[in-house]
Amino acid sequence: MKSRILAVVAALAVTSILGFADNPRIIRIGYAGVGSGNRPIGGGSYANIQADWAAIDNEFKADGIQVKHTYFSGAGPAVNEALANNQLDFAWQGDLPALVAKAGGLPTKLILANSRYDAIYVGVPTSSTAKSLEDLKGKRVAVFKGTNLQLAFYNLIAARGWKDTDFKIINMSTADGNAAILSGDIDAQVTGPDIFPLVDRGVARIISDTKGRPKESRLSHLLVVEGFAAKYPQIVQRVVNVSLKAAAWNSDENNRGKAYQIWTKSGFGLSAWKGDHDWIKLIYRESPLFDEFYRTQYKHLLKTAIDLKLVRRSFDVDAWLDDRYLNQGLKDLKLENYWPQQNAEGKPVR
Amino acid sequence: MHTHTRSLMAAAILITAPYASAQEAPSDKPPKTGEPDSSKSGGGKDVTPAAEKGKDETPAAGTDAELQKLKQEVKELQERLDKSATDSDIQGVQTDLENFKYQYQRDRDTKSALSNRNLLITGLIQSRYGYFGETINSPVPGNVANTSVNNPPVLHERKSTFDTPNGVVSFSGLLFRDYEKARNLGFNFSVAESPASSNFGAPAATTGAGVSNNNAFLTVLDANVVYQALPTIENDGDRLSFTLGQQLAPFGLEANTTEELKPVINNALFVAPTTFNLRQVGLVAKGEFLSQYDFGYGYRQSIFAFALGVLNGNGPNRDDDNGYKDVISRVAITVPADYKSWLRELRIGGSVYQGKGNIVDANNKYLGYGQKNRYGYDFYYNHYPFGFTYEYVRIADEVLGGTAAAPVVARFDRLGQTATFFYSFGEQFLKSIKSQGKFDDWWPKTYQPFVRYDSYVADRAKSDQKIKILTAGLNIFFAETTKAQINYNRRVQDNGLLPKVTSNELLVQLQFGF
Repeated sequence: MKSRILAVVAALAVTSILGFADNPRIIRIGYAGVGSGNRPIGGGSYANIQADWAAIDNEFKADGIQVKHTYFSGAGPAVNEALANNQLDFAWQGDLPALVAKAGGLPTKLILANSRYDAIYVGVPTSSTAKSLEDLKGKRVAVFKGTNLQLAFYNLIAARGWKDTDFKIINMSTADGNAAILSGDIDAQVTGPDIFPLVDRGVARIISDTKGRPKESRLSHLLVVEGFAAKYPQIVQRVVNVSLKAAAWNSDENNRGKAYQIWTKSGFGLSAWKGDHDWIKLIYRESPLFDEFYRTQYKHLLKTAIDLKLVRRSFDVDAWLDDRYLNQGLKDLKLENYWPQQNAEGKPVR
Repeated sequence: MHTHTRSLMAAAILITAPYASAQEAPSDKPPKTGEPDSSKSGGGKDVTPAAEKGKDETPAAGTDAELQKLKQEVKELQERLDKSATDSDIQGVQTDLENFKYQYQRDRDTKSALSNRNLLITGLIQSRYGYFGETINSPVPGNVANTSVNNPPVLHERKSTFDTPNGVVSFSGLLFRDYEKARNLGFNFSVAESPASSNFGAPAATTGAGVSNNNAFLTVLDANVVYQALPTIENDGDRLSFTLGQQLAPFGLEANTTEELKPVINNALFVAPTTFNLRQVGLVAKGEFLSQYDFGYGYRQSIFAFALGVLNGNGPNRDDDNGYKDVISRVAITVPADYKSWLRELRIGGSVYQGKGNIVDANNKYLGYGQKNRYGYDFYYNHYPFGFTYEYVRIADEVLGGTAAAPVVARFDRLGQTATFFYSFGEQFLKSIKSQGKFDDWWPKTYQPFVRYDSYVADRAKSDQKIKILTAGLNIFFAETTKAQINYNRRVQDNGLLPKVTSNELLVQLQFGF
C-alpha cells in the first residue's frame, strides 16, 4: 500500500514538473490603450472588433480556458512592464515600445500585423495662432513618449529636416495632453484619433497629420511571448485564426459603419473614427500581412529609433516577424488572396 | 429633370452623405469561417492608400428608382425637421440649465471643501489586535514581546488587546506651480494621533509616570515646504530639491520608508534609539543625478542620489537647545541596468549623522555636550516579485550615567542590523497593472509573505546586551489603500539588566487610507 501511494505521488510530481498539460489554464492578453474615462475598451482596429465579439473567449470556452483581457492606460510602456514581469501571453501593441523591449531582450515574436497607415495628428488650442508645424518651433509640444506616437512624430519632423530639439517636447499621456490643451498648459499635442472629440467641441484644431504618408505613420501588431508560443503553439494558432476572422470582417467595406459603431463603445465618438479612417480603404488599413511594406517600415522604424537613441541596439526584424501562424491561418480560412500585398512604398503590387 | 427634383436630390446627397456608413446596425455575431468574400479584395486596383485621401465617391443618379429613393429620404428628413425643438423645448432646457447652475453654486457654497491653493488630503489609520505569549501585568515588562502603544496606568493579566496605534491626516499641495519647467514650490503638513505622554512614533512609556492615559491628542508630524530647484517637467532629468521645516531625517532605509510600503508592522529595533522615527526640524537638500528614464517601460533610475542637511537634532515641535547643528548626509548608488536586467533596482547606500546633545541631570542642570553620532550602510534589491533589504547601523551616544550623587558621562556603542526578504504573489507593485482601464473598484489582490531578522546590541562593550526579534508575516493587499497584515514575532532577550526570556506575540493589523 505504501509503495502504491509513493508511486502515485511520484507520478503526480513528474507530471507537474514536466508540464504535460496540453492547454494553459488562462490566456492573458494585453491592449496598449484604454477608452475614454479609463474604460477597458478600445477602438480603431480589428483587435477591438475581436474583443467586442469576445471571439477569443468563445474560442476557448469549451476547453475551459479562461481568457483575461487587460487594457493599459500607460499604453505600450505599461504593456512592456507587464510582459517583462510575466503578466501577459499576448499583446496588441504599437511599434516603438515593442522595438525598445525586443532590443532590450524581451523574448517576443510578432505574429500578426494589426494596422498600418495609422496617422498621427498635431492639434493646437483653437485660440492658437499656429497654422503649421513650423509655427510650433520653440513651443511646448506634448508627446506620449515611449509610444508609437513619439516615433511617428520624429519621422514627421525629420521629413522636413527638423530635429526634436527644435521643439520643447513634453512627455504627457494622451489623457493628460487632452486636459493640458484645454487648460492652455501646452501649445500643441501629438495624438491619435482622440483629438477629434476636442475638435468637435471647438476647443482644438488640427494643423498637421500624416494621412496618406505611410512612412510617417504608425504600425501596430499582435505579439506573443516566445515561451508561451513554444509551449502552446496550437493555442497561438487558434488565437491567430480567430483574429484573422475579425481582420477579414473589419476589412470589408460593407462593415465600415458597423465597425465604427463598435469602436464608439470606447467612448470616442463617431467623428473620431470617421476622421481617422474615412480617407483609406479598410482592406489596406486592417491588413494582417507581413508584406514588404510592413517589414520595410519596421526596419525603417528600428533604424530611426536607434538614430534617436530610443533603442540601444539593432536586431533581426525578419526573424522577429514570425509569419508561420499567419500563413497557416490564411490557409485554414482560405484567405490567402484576400488582402493585397503592398510594396515598400505602401502601394499594392497585385 | 425638374428643377425642384434636382434641388431635392442635391440636398439629400449633401445631408445624407455623412451618415451613410454609420447608420447600419452592427452585427452582434462574428462571421463564420471563410465568410469574407475574397472578390471584395482591394488587391489589383491601382489605388494607393495615399491617393485615397480626400476622395469622395459620388453616387450615380438619374434613374426613376433612385429618384423615388431620394424623394423618400427627403421626406424622412423633413419629418426629422418637423420634430425639431420648439420654443417651449428651448425654454425648458434653459430652465433646466438655470436650475443646474443654482444647484451647483449652492452645493459649492454649502457642501464643498474649499482651499486657497491646490490641495491633496490623505490619511492613514491602523487598527490592530495583539495576542501575547506572556501574561502582562503592571509594571509592563520591557523584556517580553508586547507591542502596544496606548498602555493604561494599570494592567492586570492582559493576554491580548485591541489597539489603534496610528492615525495620520496629511495635507500636501503646490504653493507655486511652474507650468514651464515644473520648478514647483510645494508643501507638506500632517498630524497624527499620539498617546498623551509620548512623542508619536517613539516607544510609549510602559512604567511609572510615563504611562499614557487615554487623552490622546494630535501631534504635528510634517510641516515643511519643498522647492524643486531643477525642472521636473520631464521624467528623465536630474533632480535637486530643498526641504525646509519639520521632516523625516534621510537616514538609511527603515526610518525613511513610509507606512504604505513597510512590509513589517513594527520598526526595526535600532530605529527608536537613533530617534530617526521622529521628525526633525531643519533644512535638507536632496538630489538625483545621472538619471535615466527608460520610456519603453516607464522606468526611472538615478545612478547617484544624495541628501545633505542641517537639523536642530532634538526632535519635532521644538527649537534648538544648543549651539550646534546636527548634520546628516546620505549617498546611494543604483546599479545602471535595463528594466529587463536582473540588476534592476539594486542599490547600496551609506548614511552619516553627526550631532551633539545636551547632557543634563535629574534637576535639568546642564552638564555638557554629548556625542550623538550614527553611521550606517544599506543594501536594497527590489526586483518584482521578490525583494531583499539589509541595513547596518552603529550608534555612538554620550548620555548621563553614574548615579544621581555622582553623575558621569557614559559612552555607548550600539549596533543594529536588520534583514528582510519578501515575495509577492500578485500585481500590487506593478505600476502598469494598477493603472489599467477598469469599470469598477477592482484592485490586484496580492499576497506578500516575508521574513525578517532584527537584532540590536544596546552596548557593544558588554556581551549580554543583545535583543533579537524574528518575524514571519503576511501582507494581503485587497483594495487600493488597504492592506491586512499578520506578524508573528519571536523575541529573544539577552540583556543583562533584565531576565533573559524568549517570548512570542501575534499581531493582526488592518491598515487603511484615504
